[in-house]
Amino acid sequence: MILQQIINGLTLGSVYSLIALGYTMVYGILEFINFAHGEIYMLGAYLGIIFLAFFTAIGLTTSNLWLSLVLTSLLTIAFCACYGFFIERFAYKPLRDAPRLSPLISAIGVSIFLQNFVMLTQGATDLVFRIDAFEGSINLYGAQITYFQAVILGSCFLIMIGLSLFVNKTSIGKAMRATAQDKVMASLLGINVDLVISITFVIGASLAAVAGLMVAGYYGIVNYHIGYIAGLKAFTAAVLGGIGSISGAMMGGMALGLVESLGAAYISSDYKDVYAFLMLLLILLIRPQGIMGRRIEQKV
Amino acid sequence: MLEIIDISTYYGDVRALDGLTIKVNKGEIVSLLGSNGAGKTTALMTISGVLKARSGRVLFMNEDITNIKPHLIIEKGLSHCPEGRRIFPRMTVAENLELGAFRRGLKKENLEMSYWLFPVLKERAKQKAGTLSGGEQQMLALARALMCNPELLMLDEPSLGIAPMLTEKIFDSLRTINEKGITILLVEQNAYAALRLSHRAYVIENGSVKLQGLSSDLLLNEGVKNVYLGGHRT
Repeated sequence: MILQQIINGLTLGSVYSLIALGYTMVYGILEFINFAHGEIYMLGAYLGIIFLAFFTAIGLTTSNLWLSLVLTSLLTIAFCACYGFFIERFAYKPLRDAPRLSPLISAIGVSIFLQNFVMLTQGATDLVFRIDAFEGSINLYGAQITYFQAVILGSCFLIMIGLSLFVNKTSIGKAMRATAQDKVMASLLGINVDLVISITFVIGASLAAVAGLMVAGYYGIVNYHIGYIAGLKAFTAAVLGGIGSISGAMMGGMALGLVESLGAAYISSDYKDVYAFLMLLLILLIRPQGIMGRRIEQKV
Repeated sequence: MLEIIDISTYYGDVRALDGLTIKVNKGEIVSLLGSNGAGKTTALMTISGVLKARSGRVLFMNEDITNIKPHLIIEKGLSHCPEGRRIFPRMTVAENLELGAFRRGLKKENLEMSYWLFPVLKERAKQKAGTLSGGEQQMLALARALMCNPELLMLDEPSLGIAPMLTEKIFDSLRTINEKGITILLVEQNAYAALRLSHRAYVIENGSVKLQGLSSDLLLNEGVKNVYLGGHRT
């Protein structure tokens, strides 16, 4: 029973982690919370369904299920990456030198716009669907890991390893870390700071797209406001791990997923959303910089 | 090699540079002297494109580089080591050096040159740069600025907040760097040390050149002595 809840918690946690990475990477570079990030995740879920429906309509899903799933994923990620890129270009970049509140307001505006855009084009009701892939489960000491859970856990694991290697080992990754620490110095060394910021948004949006795809497939139900609560929780996860820290976002997401799933199983599932924010309150009281965060002295 | 012609730069409505004109020839070490707020740092920041000049021109190797983006300037062979070291504290010494070569590609001989100039950096290559002492950080900043194998190095206050013994070491290494054919434009508070090192110097006041000449002449100039060399005996 407890093993089952841990597995469920980690599955949920992987999704939170993927979204949290987008918050934390953008914060690391711009010191700005991209409140529209949750909507990218929602767009990922919708786009996934739309592309899959398209492939079903042209018959690809029945003739080659795997190809259609891979194409759906790739197209969804590409579209969301474009959303990430253009949102930054049009809504945030013009405000780079504005007071810090301005891009935040702009982000909230983008969020409201995207929610209503999807509501108007896709309808305000829940969209329910199912895919007939990944049926069945693995039995692990009495706990059932469905194939879909295994796919989610496995791909999140790979994505996180890949992202860590990218940020720590590649020259673009190093340029990103340098830009996060000192933008002017980075530009003096020949790093194109605008490009690095764009890349950060594209990566964050791609990760959110993957999370959206996973949730759409896992729960089989989406609506236009799933980005709000998921975004809020992923933001909590990022703060929990220490905002700005990539490993922190991964750990914070997992911790949040575990707390939610264990709390729902052993205390009450009615309070599912309460545990996450209770945890946020506790961490802010005890260790405000988060699990992996650094203490930052406020520049006056 | 570098010509700054009648540059004016503003912070909002405040004029920081007022028709500044200076020239650096190939192979020289040129000092910019002046009190706090005279515009020395602003001059370097304008040359490297971080600040926009409102009027005037910057020529580097006969090419107009006025107001081009800072990340494109280093590619032309102009490296800027700014005030306050600005190393990346949460990255290792080796990573900091690697970033110095971001545009022009990491070359082994440049890395070896850095380690040869400052052996302590090799010892601490894997250490986080933030854990280095102030002097070591300055050496790292200088080595990082050399990693792109520049034609011209602009240095801002390399002696700021550093023990006198280390300052001497850094100035010695500047002489070595210059002997290797790298032209240097140096901004320095320590006017005495700067004048002894450099070939020529400009004294800046309120954003324009007040005095210029051979460093050896300026060392003996009564005005310079009174204002900038007060604490030192020549």
